[in-house]
Amino acid sequence: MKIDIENITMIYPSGKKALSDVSFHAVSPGFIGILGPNGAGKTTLMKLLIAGLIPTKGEILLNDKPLLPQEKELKAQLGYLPQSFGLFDELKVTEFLDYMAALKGISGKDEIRRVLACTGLEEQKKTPIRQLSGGQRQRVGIAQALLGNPQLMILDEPTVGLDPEERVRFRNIFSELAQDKIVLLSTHIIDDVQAVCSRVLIIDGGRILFDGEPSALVEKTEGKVGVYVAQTGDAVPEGCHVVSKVNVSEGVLCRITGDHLPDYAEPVRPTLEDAYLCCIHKGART
Amino acid sequence: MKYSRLCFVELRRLLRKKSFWICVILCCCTPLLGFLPLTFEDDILSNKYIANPVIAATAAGGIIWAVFSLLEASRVHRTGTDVLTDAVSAPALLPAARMTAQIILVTCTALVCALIWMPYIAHKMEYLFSLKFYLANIAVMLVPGWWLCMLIMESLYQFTRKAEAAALIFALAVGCCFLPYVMLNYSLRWICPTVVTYSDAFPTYWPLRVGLWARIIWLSLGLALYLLSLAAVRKYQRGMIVSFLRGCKQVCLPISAALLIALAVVMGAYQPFIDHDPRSYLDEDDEFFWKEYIDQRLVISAVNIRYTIAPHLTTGTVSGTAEYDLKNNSGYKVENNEFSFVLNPGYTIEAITLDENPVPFETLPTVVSEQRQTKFTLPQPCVGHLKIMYHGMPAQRRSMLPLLVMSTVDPDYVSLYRNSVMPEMLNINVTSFGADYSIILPEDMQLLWEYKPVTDKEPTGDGKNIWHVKADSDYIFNLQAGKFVTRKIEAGGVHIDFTYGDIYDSVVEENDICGAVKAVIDYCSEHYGPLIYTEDDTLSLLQTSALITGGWAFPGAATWMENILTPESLKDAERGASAKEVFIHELIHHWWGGYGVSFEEEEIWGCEGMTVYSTYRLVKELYGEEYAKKYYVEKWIDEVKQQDRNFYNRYPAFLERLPKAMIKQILEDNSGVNHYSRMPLMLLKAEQLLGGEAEMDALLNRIYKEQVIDHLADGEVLVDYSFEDFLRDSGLTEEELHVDENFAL
Ligand SMILES: Nc1ncnc2c1ncn2[C@@H]1O[C@H](COP(=O)(O)OP(=O)(O)OP(=O)(O)O)[C@@H](O)[C@H]1O
Ligand SMILES: [Mg+2]
Ligand SMILES: [Zn+2]
Repeated sequence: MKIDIENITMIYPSGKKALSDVSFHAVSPGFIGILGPNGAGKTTLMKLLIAGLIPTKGEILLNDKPLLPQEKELKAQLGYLPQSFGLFDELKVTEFLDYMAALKGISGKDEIRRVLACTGLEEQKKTPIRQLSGGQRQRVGIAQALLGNPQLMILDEPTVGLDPEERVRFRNIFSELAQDKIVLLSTHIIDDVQAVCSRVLIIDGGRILFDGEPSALVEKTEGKVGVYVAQTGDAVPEGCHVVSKVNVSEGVLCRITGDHLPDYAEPVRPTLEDAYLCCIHKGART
Repeated sequence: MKYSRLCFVELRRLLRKKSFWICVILCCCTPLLGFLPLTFEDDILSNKYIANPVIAATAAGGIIWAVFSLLEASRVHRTGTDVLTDAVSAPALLPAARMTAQIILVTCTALVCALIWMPYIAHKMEYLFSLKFYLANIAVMLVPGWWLCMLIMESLYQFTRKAEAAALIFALAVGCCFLPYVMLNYSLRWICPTVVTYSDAFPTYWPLRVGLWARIIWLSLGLALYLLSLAAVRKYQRGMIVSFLRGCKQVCLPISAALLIALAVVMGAYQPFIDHDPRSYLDEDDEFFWKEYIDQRLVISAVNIRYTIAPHLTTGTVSGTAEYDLKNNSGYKVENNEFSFVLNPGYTIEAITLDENPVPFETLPTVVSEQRQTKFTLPQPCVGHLKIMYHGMPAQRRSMLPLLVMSTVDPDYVSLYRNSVMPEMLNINVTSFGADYSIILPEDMQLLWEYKPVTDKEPTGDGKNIWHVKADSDYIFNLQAGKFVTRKIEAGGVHIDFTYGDIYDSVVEENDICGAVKAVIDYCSEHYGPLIYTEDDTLSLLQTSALITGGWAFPGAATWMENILTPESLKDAERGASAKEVFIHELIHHWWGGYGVSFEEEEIWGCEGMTVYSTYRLVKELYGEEYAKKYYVEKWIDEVKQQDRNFYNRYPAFLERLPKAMIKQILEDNSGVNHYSRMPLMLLKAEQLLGGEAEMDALLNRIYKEQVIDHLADGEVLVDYSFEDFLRDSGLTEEELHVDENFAL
């Protein structure tokens, strides 16, 4: 499977420009993490990919052919977890999955059993959905996306509301999935991306700021992160952004990013989070 | 495969919903609305126990299901389940599956509802219950009504995507059904076709057949609207118009919608039941419409006229043949060899021949009063054996529907009028000659000609009879056929044919209705005079279908309505203490008028009191003084007493303060007491004042002969004989006739 996004611009009917001139390409296998602040355009990009929106400008190609005429083919191999969604509260978990399976044209109780096991919902399979907790509902959402082992998985903030243990388990599941398909995952949790993604996209203000391996992003930020101990009332050095502040006995330990670090700051090895923030701030400046 | 599985999972999901089951329970209760006093009172049990509850359930249940489908359709958007489902399937697929599932479910609900109510209805209707007719009503009225409401509501939602807007438009559409104009235009009321009346005795599928036609029209439109709304299902987060235009690229949707709309238009324009006369009321000039022919000299005459009429009971159509021997006795030569006749527009002329040779003809499109003109050209000298063959469904006057059903051809009952079945020559002289009629009917049917049973029949060998009727004139008024039973009764020196639907045979037997007929005819003939409709010592007393409106008496025949023999009517204590007495009461109405008419509200004097008094006198003769006193006189005194003691009657000022409905009820009760009790009691007092029964009978005899007969002969149903008239004729005063609870025999 191959997806090409060529110079996409998306302007909502309200006049809001959510994406401008975005291009990127993906082939399976691949695990792409999408990072970006609120309102950056991540969900918009995903909706374009599932043919839920039509781009104002530009083109999306699936296997080198335009996407819209292939809507049916796309939907047949798509697993989509939206950022917010509703479930049929009157149904039990298995019934709901059976419902979604029917909609996807997938048959078989085995498949439902498989995704239940995958998402740790076996105990709740007979529970009516209205009795599920928030995290359990999220897992039902993931389970339905996994149904039919789709070749393209688009997951919009899948780990929201999951406890840390589950979050880690799921990101491993996703990374296993990515071994033979394209998985696109948007998130605000940078650890998740760092741990499993082979590629990261950073979007802000509707533009792609970075597209590449996480390690490349970190490398780019080498020498631009430093720490120093500040006293209360000290101003932030010009051109720098504070990433974190920790109270220590001598004062406040500040971690800053910037193209030109002040002399008193001691350079340290950047993390992906540093790199991301640095990228966003630079994007905001340009 | 995928679609049926989707329907199945939708079905299972809906079954899990509490709101669905609440709707099922509510819908099963909706027939109750048909039994509320809101609906007009009816003594035809098929109206009371089938039409009313079915129509109520159709409308109320339809609204319930519409609300349910609106909630279901809007819920996926309110809760956001559509985000999941639309991503993996075409957005219109799921709504379509949901509608299919809902249609299956409401159909099952309708069946359950029908089954739940059946024992009660069958119990109430007793011997008049017909399972076939009941289920036909469920199938034609209820089920499509529920479907239609869901289709329309869901279409409105899919177009507007706003639940409030859809509900509002739907409410307006329902409201339209109750506009007077729509109520009277039998096919416009989309939620449920109008039923003016059914018949218990002679199962008449006419309203259902017309209803079914209207149903198909409305369902086609509803489905078309729904298909178009599927095209308007929002995609790519765009508005209605963009989505709709895009949706229409799936050409099967707009094409099927267009085909359905075309079907509805064609079916609406070519309804076979009506004459398509565009004018809405009867036109005074109708009779003179063919006036160009009135002044024409008729050169050709027709003799040996023979008509053959063969109703086809399953299709509701009729085949007819008219044959004439054309002569020229006028001494003039034919100048214009183009002739014309008119025939009901429901028919197609199949052929016209002269001496077996086809002649050219042309049917004109104009329709005037159920008639359409056909012109044909005969070769000179325009004499010989003329034969016209035609076939079709007799059309009714559009402007009269649904109030009047003039002709009907049903599986068990046929009623045809001249205008619905016979051609009428415009410029060939056929008047003053008799005609031979051959009517072909199934073996188990009895033919009635002008309200009299016919006896001359001849089996055809294939399960049918040919009935022969020789009429003195070319004029036929009415022909009926059905499962009738005729009993011969000799009474008052008259041979009586007492005819009724065979469904009542055991009731007639058990309640000695024939004995009642004999008693009434003997008594009234002796005391007042023979029934004026008697002709040559014969009289046909014919039970008629509730669908046949119009006069009660014809030369040699008097009709009585089918509703007298319903189980409820026969138990009506107002009219008599037993079924036989109820029948006696109704038959006596034929002497005093007011037959089948509900009395005026305030008027105490009328046909009813005379009838009740005469019934009392006859019952006294039949069962003795004790019986008559107990069930008649004492009952009257009791009711008058209760009326006079009623608080609101004593203090009318308080009456005015009551709610309108209660005032109406009290006034109606008063009127009933006045007619059924006070007035007979006044007549009883008159009898005492005049000196006894013999004197009273002499007075009544005089009143009947001098006052009433003329009215009856004029065909007046409600005889206009007032209280003042009675005071004048009896020489008594109002004060003398005053009765109260102290009245004593
Ligand atoms: N239907 C819509 N109509 C108009 N504007 C919209 C619509 N949906 C989103 N937007 C706007 O488009 C921009 C991008 O939104 P999007 O939902 O893609 O952001 P996001 O990156 O997913 O943010 P978050 O991390 O908060 O989920 C935002 O500014 C948002 O206000
Ligand atoms: Mg988002
Ligand atoms: Zn009466």
